[in-house]
Parts: sequence; structure tokens; C-alpha cells
Amino acid sequence: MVNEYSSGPLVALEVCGEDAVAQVRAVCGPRDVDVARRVREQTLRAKYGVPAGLGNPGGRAQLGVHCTDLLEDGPLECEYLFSLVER
Amino acid sequence: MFGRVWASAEASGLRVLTARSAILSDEDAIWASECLALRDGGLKGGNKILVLQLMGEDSDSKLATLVGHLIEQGMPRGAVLTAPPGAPTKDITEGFFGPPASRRLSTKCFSSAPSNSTTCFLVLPHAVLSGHAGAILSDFSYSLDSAAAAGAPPLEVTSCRLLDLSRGQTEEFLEVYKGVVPEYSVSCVTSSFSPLLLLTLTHPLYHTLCVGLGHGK
Repeated sequence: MVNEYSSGPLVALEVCGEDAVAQVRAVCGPRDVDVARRVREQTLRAKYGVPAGLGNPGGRAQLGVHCTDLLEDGPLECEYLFSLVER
Repeated sequence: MFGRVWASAEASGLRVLTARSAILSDEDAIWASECLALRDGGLKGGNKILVLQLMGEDSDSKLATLVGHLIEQGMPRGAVLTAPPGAPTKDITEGFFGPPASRRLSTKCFSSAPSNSTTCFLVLPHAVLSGHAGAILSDFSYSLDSAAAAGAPPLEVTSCRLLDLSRGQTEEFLEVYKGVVPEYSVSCVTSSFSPLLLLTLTHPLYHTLCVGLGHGK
């Protein structure tokens, strides 16, 4: 996970609004790309995730996108990426 | 809107470094209008803006291409503007995109919002390097808009940033997932760009303002 997140440029978004954590999680879909493709085929991980073993480095699944899992972590993750990380 | 602008930037050969969404205060509107040499009909307090900092080689011509794309997509021609020669590049960049202490523009709900109203979304490196960032952001925006049309509370992208995290920064960021997410394990690539700024103004009446600061540092 650390390897994947630090392997090149990433795009970080801060998203605001009522029930933002749950809504964005729903748009991203399950963390297992195979499961996402079977049961949530319209989600971003189903569309842009790469399942394990399909030519990706290390054979690990690549999820395509990340979203905050827990309610309390949203502001912390945004503060880290938009304020604390040096520009 | 956001995803479409991002996809258009990519299609024009530009990369979005930072983006911020905010509603201008009266003071900020005056400041931004002065920076952009806008006179009558310039920015007004209450205007909602989306500001993007772009980068790329031959950025002047690519910015012109991007502005053309946006106009083709329906943005009013008069709402797409570029900064005049000699615009205070440093002041503008710092004011819109600098660290919170020196930034002129404040986003609407950063850090002071209830915890369930702010979340973080990332397009991961493999997807960015595969050229899927624009498509993902367009899909993301479409999904949020569709959910809102179906009755879900509306969400808004208030900040966006393209960045490279070092291994140490990544470990700090993912600390909360350590031991929780099975794929967590304990690498890094960097890149450099020449900056250019694009400002789009939306609302009221779907105005868009683009500010090009040329290339170079």
C-alpha cells in the first residue's frame, strides 16, 4: 500500500457535504477489485482498479482510487495532504 | 464541472497541480480583480470560483487550446479570461495556492467542518500514470451529481492537488490503516513542472474565469 501510494503522482481531492464519507465510499466501491467488478460494476474501483496478477507490479491489486474509511479521518487526511505536506 | 475541466486540461496537454473551490468575500473579489486587471464586471463578493494551477511545456499555447475547449463545451466566451502580461504572478500564486497562513483564498469548509462532512479522495499513481485521472474525476463528479439528483445531500470538491508523496509521508498518511488494511506494506518517484495558473469562475450565471500566468518559475 505504501509502495503503491508513493510510486508516482497522485491526485488528492477534499470533498465536502453532508454524509460525505459514506457517499464517496459508495462511489469508490469495495476494496477488492474482483468483488467490485462482480457486485458494484459501476463503481470506480470496478472500472479503474487492476486485479492482482494482471501484469501489475508485484502482482498486487491496484485499487485505482482511495477514499477515507472512517468519519473522523476525513478532516485529518485532508489537513495532512493540503496543509502539512510541503508544497 | 470539475471533472470536465480536469479532463479538458489533460486533453490540452496540461496537468493540474492544485485546484481550490471557494466563495469570494468582497475583499477577496477586489484583490483578485486587481490581480487580473479586471475593471467593471470583474469578480464580485459571493462569486463561487474554481481555481486551478496548471503546468506543462509550451503552456501559453496549451492554455489557449484549453480555453477553446472550455468555450466549445458551453462556457460563455466572455467568462474565460487570462491574466494580462506583467500580472503579479507570485502574489496570485501565493494568494490562491500558498500555505494556509499566507493564502488569501480560504476554502469553504476546510478543517472547521463536522467530521462527517469532509472526506478525502485520491486517484492513485498507477491510474494517474495510465492517463486515467481525467476520466476518473469526470466519473467521480458525474456519480456525485447523479446521487444528488436522486436526493442525496449534494457534495462539492473544495480542494484538489497533484502531489508526489515520499515514502515517509506516505507512511504518515497511511498510519491509521496500518494493521487494519491487509494490503498495507511498507517506495518513491518525483516529478517537476513549470507553473501556470488557470482560474475558472462559476456562479452566478455560470461565469468562468481563466488566468494564465505563462511558463517558468
